[in-house]
Amino acid sequence: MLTLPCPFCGQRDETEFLNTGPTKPARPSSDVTDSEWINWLTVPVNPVGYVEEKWWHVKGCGKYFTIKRHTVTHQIKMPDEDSA
Amino acid sequence: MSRFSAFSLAWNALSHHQKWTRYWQNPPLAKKYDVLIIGAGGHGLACAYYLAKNHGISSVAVLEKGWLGGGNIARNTVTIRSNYLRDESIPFFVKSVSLFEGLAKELNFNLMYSKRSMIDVIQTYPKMREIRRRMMNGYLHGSSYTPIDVGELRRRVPALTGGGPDSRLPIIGAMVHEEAAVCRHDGVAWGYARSASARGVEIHQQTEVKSLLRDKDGQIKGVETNRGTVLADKVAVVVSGHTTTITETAGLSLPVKSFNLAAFVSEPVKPLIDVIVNCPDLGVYLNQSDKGELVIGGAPDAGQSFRRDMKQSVFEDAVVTMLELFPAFRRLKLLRQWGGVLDIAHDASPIISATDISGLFVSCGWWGGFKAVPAGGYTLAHLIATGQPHQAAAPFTLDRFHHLDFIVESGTTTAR
Repeated sequence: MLTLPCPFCGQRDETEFLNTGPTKPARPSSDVTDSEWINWLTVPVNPVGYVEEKWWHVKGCGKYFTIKRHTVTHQIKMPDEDSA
Repeated sequence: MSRFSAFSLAWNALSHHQKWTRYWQNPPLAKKYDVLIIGAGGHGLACAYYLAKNHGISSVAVLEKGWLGGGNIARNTVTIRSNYLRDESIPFFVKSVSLFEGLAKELNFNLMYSKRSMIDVIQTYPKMREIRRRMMNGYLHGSSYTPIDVGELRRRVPALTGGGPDSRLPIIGAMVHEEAAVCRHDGVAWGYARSASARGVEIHQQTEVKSLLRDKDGQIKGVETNRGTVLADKVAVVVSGHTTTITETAGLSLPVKSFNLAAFVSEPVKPLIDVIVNCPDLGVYLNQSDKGELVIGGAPDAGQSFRRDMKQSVFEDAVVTMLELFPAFRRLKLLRQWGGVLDIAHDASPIISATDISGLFVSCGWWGGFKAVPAGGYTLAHLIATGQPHQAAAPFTLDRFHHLDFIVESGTTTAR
C-alpha cells in the first residue's frame, strides 16, 4: 500500500488523502498575452517522471502539503530534493 | 484479402486450416508516406482504414511501439454505449454506436458483437437527478435511457441481491440504456488492420517513435523512430496516455493529464448476468464475457500515473463495493488484473484536433475511448484528409481550450 509523508502525522496510508493535482507555476502578471494566460490556466504538467503535486490529508489532520511523486515508480521525494 | 465466409471455412478445412492468408502484410518501412499515424490501437487503425476507404489516401503507415492491439484497445471493459450528458457528446457517441452495429459486416470479421443493454443501478437521489437529466437529453438526440423500478431491476439481474432497504445505500431505482453492447475488443483492432492492409495501408509493429521532426518553418516533416527517419507532411498522434510524451518532443504541450485505470476478471462461471451493470454511486461496473468471466472495472488511481497496474487500494474499493450489491460473488476467485494509461482533459471530453504545429494532429483525451473507436477514427480521417473537422467532432477541437468553452461531461468514469 502506498503511504504518504504528512508533515504533521508522519507516514500515513494513501487512502486517507485526496490528490489535488500537480502544482501550478506562479500566476503570471497582468501584462501577459491571452495565449500565455490560457496556457497557464489549462495546461498541466504531465511528465513520465517526478511530478510535483499537492495532497490534502482530508481524513486526517486536514493539512495540505506538496511532494514530488514519480508517475511510474511512485517513489516520493520532498519538493526541495533534486528531481533527477 | 480473402473473404471470410461459411464457404471459405469449409474450403480451408479441406487443407486442415494450414492455408489461411495473413491478416495484414509486413512490407519494409519506406522513407516517406503521405500520412503517418502513431499508434496501432483502435483509433489509429480505424483512422487508417477510413483514410483509405473514404478519402482514397492509401500511402499511410501506422507505427506501433509494441504489437498491434496491445495497448488500451485490449485493456478496456468492452462496453459500447452513448448515454452521455452534453448536446455535443451524445450525437458523436450515437454515431459511434451505430457504426459499431454494422462493423462486423463491414470489416468481414466476427467481432462477437452482442447488444445486451446496460443498467445503471442508482442508490442516491443526487445521482438519480443527474441520470434523469441525462435521460431527457438522450431523448433529444436519439439515445434511449428508460427508468425501471427496483422490482424490475431485480427481475432482470437476479444476482443483484444486495442494496436492500436496510443496507448502507439502498437501491432506489435503475435506468436502462438499450443500445449498450459489448464486443470482442482485440477483434476490432484486427478487423480494422486487416481491412486497412487490404486497401494498401502499411502497419509497422515494433517501430517506436522517438521524436517528432519539424522543418525550418515549424511545419511537421516526419518522425524519428528506432528504425530510422520516416518523412510525412501529416502526422497523427493517436497513442492514448502517452500523447504529451510524444508531442513534447516537438515542443507542444496539451491540456491533458495521464491516469491509470484498471480492471480485473473473475474465474469463468455459468451465465449469470446478461446485461452490463453499472453502479455509479459505488464506482464499480461489470459484465460477463462469452467465456463466463466477470469483467469488473473500478475507479481511476488518485494522481497522475503511467504504471499500467492495479493499486491495492483501488482493487479493495472495487471488490468491497461490488460485494455490497452482489454478496454471492464473495466466493469467486479472481484471475488477473491489468491497467491502462489514459489521458484526460479536465472537462472529460475528447480532443480530435489539428494543433499549433502545422500538419500535426492529435486524438487524445479518450476516457472510455473503446466505444468511440469507429466514430473517432472516422472523424480523425476526415480532419486529416480535408483539413476541416468533421461535423460530429467539430466541438472537440483544441479551440475549446483557447476560448475556455468547455464541454464538461459527466457520463464517464472520471466524473465520479
